[in-house]
This record gives sequence, C-alpha cells and structure tokens, in this order.
Amino acid sequence: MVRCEMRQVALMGIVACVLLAVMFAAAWAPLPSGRAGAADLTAEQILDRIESTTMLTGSGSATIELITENKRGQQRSNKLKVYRSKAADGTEKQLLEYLSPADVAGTKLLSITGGGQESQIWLFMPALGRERRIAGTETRSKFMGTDFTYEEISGGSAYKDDYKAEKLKDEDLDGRNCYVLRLTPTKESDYAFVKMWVWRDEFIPLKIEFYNKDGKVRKVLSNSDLKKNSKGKWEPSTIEMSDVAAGTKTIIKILEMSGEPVSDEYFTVRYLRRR
Amino acid sequence: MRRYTKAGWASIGSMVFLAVLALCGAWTGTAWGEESGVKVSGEVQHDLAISLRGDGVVANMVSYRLSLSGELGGAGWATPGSVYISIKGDYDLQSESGKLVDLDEAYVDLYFSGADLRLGQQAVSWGTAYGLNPTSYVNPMPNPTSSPGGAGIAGIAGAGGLELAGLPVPAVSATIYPSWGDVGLVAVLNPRLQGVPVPEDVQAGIIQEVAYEVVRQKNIPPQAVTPSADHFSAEPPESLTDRLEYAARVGTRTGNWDLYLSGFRGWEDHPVLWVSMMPLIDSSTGYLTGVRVDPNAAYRKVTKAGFAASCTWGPYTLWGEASYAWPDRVPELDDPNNITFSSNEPYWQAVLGGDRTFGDAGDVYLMAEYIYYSNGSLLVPYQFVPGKSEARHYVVGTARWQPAQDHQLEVSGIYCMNDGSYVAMPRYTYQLSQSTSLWFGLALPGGDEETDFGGLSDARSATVGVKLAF
Repeated sequence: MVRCEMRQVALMGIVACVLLAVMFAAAWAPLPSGRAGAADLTAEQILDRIESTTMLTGSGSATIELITENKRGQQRSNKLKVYRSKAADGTEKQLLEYLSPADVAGTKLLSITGGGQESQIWLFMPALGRERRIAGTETRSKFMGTDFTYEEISGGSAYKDDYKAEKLKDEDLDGRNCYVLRLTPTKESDYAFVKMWVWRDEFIPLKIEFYNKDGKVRKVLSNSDLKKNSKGKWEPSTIEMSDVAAGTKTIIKILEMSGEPVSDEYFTVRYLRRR
Repeated sequence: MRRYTKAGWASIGSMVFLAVLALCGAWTGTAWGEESGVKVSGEVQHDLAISLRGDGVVANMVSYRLSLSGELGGAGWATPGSVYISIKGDYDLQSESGKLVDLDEAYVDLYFSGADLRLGQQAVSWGTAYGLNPTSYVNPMPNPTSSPGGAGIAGIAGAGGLELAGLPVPAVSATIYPSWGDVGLVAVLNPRLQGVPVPEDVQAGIIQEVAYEVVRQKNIPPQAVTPSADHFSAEPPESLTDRLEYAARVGTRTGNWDLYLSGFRGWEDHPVLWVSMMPLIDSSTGYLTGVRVDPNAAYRKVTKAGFAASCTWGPYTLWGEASYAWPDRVPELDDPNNITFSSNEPYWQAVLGGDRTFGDAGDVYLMAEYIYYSNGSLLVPYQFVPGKSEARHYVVGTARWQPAQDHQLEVSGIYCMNDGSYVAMPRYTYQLSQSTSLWFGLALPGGDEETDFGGLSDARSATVGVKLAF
C-alpha cells in the first residue's frame, strides 16, 4: 500500500509537468510562425517561444496512460484521470485519479501547491476508506519506476533559467523542419549538455537528447503522434523517455484532453472520499 | 489410487469456484464493466503457511473479494450519487473451515450541495494513524492474532501494507462540509457485536484454569468443582433502540495540519467476562461439598472521546491519535467474590508515529509508531492476573525497499516495551505481472511464553502467497 503511495506521489509530479507541457501547448495561440516568420530567431528567443507554451495558466483535464518498461521489455501500465487548475495567485491544484490497474483503481491523490503556501498532499485509498495527509518526495531527481525527472519535462522555462542556449544548424526530423539547440547547464547538473529539436512551425520540442559528462547520450525524450486538437492546435499524444544507459523506458499516452475549466469541487477532500 | 474425502472434494470445489470467479471477474471487469458504466473488480488470494516448529502446514487459505460499483444520477434520480456492493469469502483448506460467501459492504451514496450521505452496510474509517486507530470507533476490529499461521500477526504491524479494517455495520452516515472543514455524523443501526470472538478452546481453557484455582483455594477434590458451562455466553441487545450507536467527528484542515475531535456512544466489541462461584453445602451436615463455577459474559455500552491529528514537516509525515473510554459499570465486575477478566475502569489508547521516504521517490520507506494501551494487552481484551491492568507500551516499525520495479523487500516488527517480546516479519514480494503478485514471508515471534508475543510461538511460520487482482 505504501509502495503504491510512493508511486503515486512520484507520478503526480510527472503528470503535472507533462500536462503543463502538453495541455498548455495545445492552448497556446501561435505567434506569427512558420519558417518565414521565425527565421531570424535567436536561441533564447526560441526558448522563450517554447516557454510561452508552458507559462499559460488555466484549468483542464486529461486521461492518460502511463507505461513503464524495464530492460527486459516488460511493461506496466497505469491509466489515470487528471484534473488541474491554476489560480491567479499562483496556487496550483491537481487531482489524480487511478482508473486501472485493478489493485490501485479508485485511488486518488490531491495536491495543492504554490500561492505562497507549503505544499499539501492527501492520498485516498479505497481499501483504507479514508484520506491520509502525506509529505512530498524529498528529492526532485529521478522518480521511482519511471525515467523522468522534473527537470527533463518541465518545459522551456527550466531550460531558459538553468541552461545557456546555442543555436545549431537546422535539421529535419520525421519530415518536420526543426531548430536544433545545444543547451549547456549553468548550474550543477547530471548532464554535460542537452540537444533539443524544436519544430519550427509550432515551437514544440520533438526530441531532446541528454548527454552525460563522457559526451554519450544518456536519455532521449521524444514527443510524437502529433495531432490537431479541436481548436486546431497541434499537440503530441505520446511522450516517451528512454534511459539509454539503463535500458528502461517510460511512455505517456494522452488518451483524452480538455482545456475546459475544472470545478473547484474536484480539488477537495470531499471529492477524494467519494467513490 | 488416491481417495478424496468429502471435505477434500469440498476443498477442490471451493478452489474451482474461486478460479471460475476470478475468470468471470476478469472477463466482466473488462468486457461488461466499462461499457455498462458498472465497475467490476476483485481479487483472489492464496496463502500457504508452514510452521517453523515442525508442525507442517498450519494454514492453507484461499480468499476472494468481488465488488461492483456504479454511479447514480440518471433521469430518475434527483441527486447524484453512487452504489457499491462487495462480497468476500475465504476457505482454509487445512482446517476445512471458512465462509464461501459473505456480504462485505453494500451501500448507496447520495451527494447533496453541502453534505454527502451514505446508507447501508459500511465501514466508517476514522483516524490519522497507521494500522491502529483509537478513534475509529464504529466498526469492530478483527483480532489480528485470530488468523492461523501468523498471517494475522502480520496485520499488527502493517506488514505488507496491511491496515486493520473494521467489520462493516448497517449504518447511516452523513458528512457535512462547511467552509472550514467537515462534520461527520454516524448512526449505527445494528452493531456487529462479538467482532473479536474469543476462541472456544481459549474460553474452555479459562474456565478450566478457574476450576483449578478453586480446587487449590478451597482445598477440595477436582471432581467437586462443576462448571455450569464450558464457554462464556453473552446475549446481544434485543430492541432496536438498545442496539443504536452514535458517533460524531469534527475536522478541520489548517496549514499543514489535519485536526479531528470525535466522540462515540455505543457497544464495546467484546463482552466483559467474569466467573461467579456458588458453594454447594450439604444441608444435613453443613459441610462444603463442592463449588459450582458459572462463567458469565455481558456486552456493555461505552462512551468515548478522542482526538486525532496529522501534519507534514519537511519530508516527514507525523500523526498522533488518542481516545479515552468510560465504560458503563457492570456491578458484577466489582464483586470481590467473583473472578473477573474485565474491569470497570476507564481506559486510554494512544498512537504517535511518523514516516519518511529516503532517496529517490521509491527507494527506502521508513515508518515508526508508538502505541499505548492503558488497559492491558494489545492482543487480548481481557486481564488474567488479578488487580489493576498494567498499561502496555509498544513500538511498531516498518522498513521497505524497492530495488527494482518488480521487487520489494520489507521488514516489519512490533516490540512490547513491558516484557521485551516481539514479532519480526520480513517479506519479499515479486510482481509477476500487472495483475499477479507472489510473496514469501516469515512471522517470527519471540519472548517468554507468558509474554505478549512470546505466547504466539505456535505462529512461527513461513508464508508463501499469490494474489490475482482484476
């Protein structure tokens, strides 16, 4: 049960960041884009444009499938419903509800962060029949059972703050013309540098390679299955992080997504207790 | 050629039934449940416990749980809500005993604008502590030592993530949600008394002990002592008004704190026990010819008040929970002519604990908890030594490590500070697939025979188990 609890706290962080990166990318109203309009952008300006996709505030929900794969290729899958809201004062609320597998279905995790308060997290387990207040994870490095860290999926803002960007020669990736950036950390980091492929038309990072101190690729993040949503905005429906060294993989599939505001009643202990 | 006994056929039948149930559940859970809006889930589990004292297999338990849930809120319903029903069963192939089908929970939830209502057989789970919750008054708690082979002992310390869940009772519970927190009100319509029955062989043993004591004190031959029964028998309350129980809780969340005040008026889970003695006098000689020993038992009401809190402090989660109980006075327990196993004294129960995860999110988890019982042993609700109960102090701990996605190692233990007895429970769990897990564990009680856990030396065992969830 507690193992399940730790997994859920970990997943909560991942899901929060992924949703920021994906959901708000979908909501982003493109500035003049395309090759002609963006031809002269600097590396920092490109990061700014990526950042703008994660800086939007708002509310939304999504159904996702989170798959972890070990080095033998065996997969574990969790299906989750995620509700999210961000208030003007910076308070972020998120409710994560497990739909499957059976042993964790019905488990809910509520977190309220930001807004100048300490983080508050409650976990509800159906078998226990009540919620528990729990502490967040101590570290923000690697999360149990997955290949993600906050840093790696927190979008452009973290890269802008913590990396020095250099623009390399443009490349085509899966038929899409991309800016290629080399990002060198300005703070202590596990990586020597990061290489990022950004789709020129929509400013969506399609691939990110993380290099270790020996200059070898340690991890690869890819955003794929790009589709237009109902508002005509492009969004990736599959996000995959491969740990090349460990031979493991984490895949997030966005099954449904909505930018419709979520009622505040979802972010309450009362809702946690409901079946 | 092997011959199957009737009981053997029953065992095979029960296993086939459970296998079919698992398959049906798996099928309906995927094929029927999702499309109809009805969620079907369940689990089937098999535990095999082998004695480490050379007594062979001590438990061979198959158990299952099947649940269905769905939402209300269609055109015919004035208010949104949900329905939930679950059944469970277990069968010990070793002792050839068990209950194949038992109603677990069955209730309807109705959601109003400022309050939620739950009607039906339900577990009302209150409290902030792990494992043992002194403020979870409503549902009788099963005895953690009642399961054979040490499987139940593990429940004491929460091994394998076990939490002690109360037995569901028919009740109406309402939770009101003002802006500052919540108010819970519960009325139990028919308490499930004798939630922790004292095993009949234990009862017979108690009566036998009393008879020996009478023989010693009165200096009469053993055949002169005649117990009127070989077990204690308590009648549950008859009228509906007598059966009613009430509980209330007020909670608020402020900063990093969850705070609750609660109260309860209802029945104790266990009957109080005493033995009265009737001297048998020869009317012609006036000499004592014998003693009749009458075992007595009675349920009594109790009033409880409690406090529970939990908070986070950096990477730690901390909790504290306590209750104070005033039992209704049973005059026979104060009669010096009776041998009593219960007391009219009020009593305290308290739990204080914390946990923390170290390293990356899943690496190492540690939990420690202190438990205080003013009225004696955590395991046995009766006192067998004359005089006031000795307060007991316990320490519970769990360490858990998950070195890889499919592997988990953990050690749980409970230590009685009064007598130095303990139970250690190492366990390894392997997640064979998404829905199937296997484990191997040990239950290792230690201490002198007369101590709390040392007396459980029969339960020194190794357990292997498998669980399929669908």
